[in-house]
Amino acid sequence: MIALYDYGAGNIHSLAKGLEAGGARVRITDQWNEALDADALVLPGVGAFGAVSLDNRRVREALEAELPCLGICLGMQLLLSESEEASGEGIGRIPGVVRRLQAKTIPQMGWNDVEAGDDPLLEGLGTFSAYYANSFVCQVEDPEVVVASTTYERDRFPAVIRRGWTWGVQFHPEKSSEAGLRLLANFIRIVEER
Amino acid sequence: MLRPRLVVCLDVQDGRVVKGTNFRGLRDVGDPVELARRYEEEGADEIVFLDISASHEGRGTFLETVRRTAEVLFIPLTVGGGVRTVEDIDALLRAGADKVSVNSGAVRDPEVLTAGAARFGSQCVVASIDGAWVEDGWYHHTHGGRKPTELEVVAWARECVRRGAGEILLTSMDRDGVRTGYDLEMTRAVARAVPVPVVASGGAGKAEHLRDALVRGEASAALVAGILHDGKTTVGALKSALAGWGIPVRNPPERALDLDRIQWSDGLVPVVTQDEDGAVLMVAWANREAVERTLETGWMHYWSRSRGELWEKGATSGNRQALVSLRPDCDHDTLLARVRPEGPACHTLEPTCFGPGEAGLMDTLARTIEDRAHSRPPDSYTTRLLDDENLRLKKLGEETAELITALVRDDGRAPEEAADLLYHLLVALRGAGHRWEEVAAALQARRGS
Repeated sequence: MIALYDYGAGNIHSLAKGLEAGGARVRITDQWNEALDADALVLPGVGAFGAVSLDNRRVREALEAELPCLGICLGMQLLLSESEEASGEGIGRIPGVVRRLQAKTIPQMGWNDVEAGDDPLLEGLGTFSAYYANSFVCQVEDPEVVVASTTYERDRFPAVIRRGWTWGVQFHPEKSSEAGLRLLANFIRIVEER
Repeated sequence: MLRPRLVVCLDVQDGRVVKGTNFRGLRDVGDPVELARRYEEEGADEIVFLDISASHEGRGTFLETVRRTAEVLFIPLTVGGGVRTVEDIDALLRAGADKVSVNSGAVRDPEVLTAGAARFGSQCVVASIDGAWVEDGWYHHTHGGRKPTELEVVAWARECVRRGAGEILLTSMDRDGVRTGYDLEMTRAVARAVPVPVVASGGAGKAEHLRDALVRGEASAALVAGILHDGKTTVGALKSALAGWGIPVRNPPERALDLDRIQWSDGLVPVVTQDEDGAVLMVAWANREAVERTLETGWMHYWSRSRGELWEKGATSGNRQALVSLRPDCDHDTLLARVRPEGPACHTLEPTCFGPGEAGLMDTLARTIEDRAHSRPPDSYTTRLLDDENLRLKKLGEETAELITALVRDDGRAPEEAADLLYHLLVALRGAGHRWEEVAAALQARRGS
């Protein structure tokens, strides 16, 4: 059972269906007891940093205790410590700051290339196009956590990060057609094979 | 590299995709969920649903349509139409939309953009601007482009972005539905004025238009509707043409055809043309330019040996052939084209150059009348009838009376009179905008009962 946490804003429908297409049973919930008790946690990517309030300490402890987690877009950014977008703290699982994209046209809206990365999450994908809709990106302290990168205008930023059983992706796999569904299926497989 | 997007727009009313055609109002073209999926499979980068339902019930149906679509669509879905409040945005996002476009609602209260961006992020909030040239500039129009406002398009676009919009969907009302190309000047003016992506809309007729919008218009995305729903071209053909011009679109269909490997014979290669069901329509010749033009435009081009010139199939008759696929045979000396024909392949007006096949005499007669209706040769009796409603209805009455007389007299003239009547019957139907296929379908439907 995969828990899909519902912040109460935006579309999480497609993500739930995308995870199901990857073979998962999905429970959409806004209850942390339920979310942290699942086989894995997915933090969706809709809303604004400041508009989401999580029980950061509790989530961090669960992730440190190796609860597999996939954070998508905003969900990835929430894994970091803080953000330029708004005051308030993130989960702090991956040290770093969320910063604004350095580009002429913001948000970055559309399909961009994710450079090939060596990680089970990206198995079978190589370099692929993924759908982005973001104005902010992650700036991590430890370059080792960066699995794959993307370049927008002249700004290069982490597309996929990983620390232990915690992954974050800046794009929207549930909106990235076949390649995105493959990534979600990979995540499900990782959780199942654990 | 961020890839220029090809966005497919569907007008949705009461749970169905509809499309405006001149003078005939709206025509049902299919199920939005199925169509959206099909366009994703063809390679569309994004889908837009525009709710044009007027009624309250229509709104509910629309939310349900969005919900059903979000369950099976794995590319972004933007929805719009009648959005007025943050609650409207919330409802649409919850139903499964990724972005919500606001038009009249933002004119009434621009605060809806600000509040929407604060709550859901500006990447969800699209300002839809319908611009048309009025005297000294482009002005935004509301109510489906019917009601002009005082808002100058570039200034209004800036204001929308300042308020929180993360994207501008810019439609030229002057070009909408005309298929002569996007309004490049207006698109470029807005694209240069705002720091957010601009989606060009209104006017797409062929691949060149998309290229111009993305390059000269400086748009981030080009929106396409009618030419796809009509089957005039496909997402794949558009993308492969764009890729051919060096525009880095996502996943263009693989060009299976390597022109340098083709075994040209005196510069020509035979092309076997099939419809999508596999029926052979015709065999003709192509030179390199014809093959290139076919791949670029998505329309079949051949080389006419009799005229010694490049021949765009259907350029004069209107019986064009939209390319579905083009591939070589095993030794690269013959090409197989799969097409979606817009009319008969043969100059005899038979559907194929290999005889009447399954088409009956009535089909052939109906097609001849259809052809006259398009070309209107001045010395044709059919043209005269089509131009004169009184005449053709009078003739319909006369021919009916003559058939009855022949039957009563039993003078052997009945078959001739019946033939006259059938001809006038088809012309009268065509004159009123009906097609023989409708009659055939009505007959077919009765067969079982």
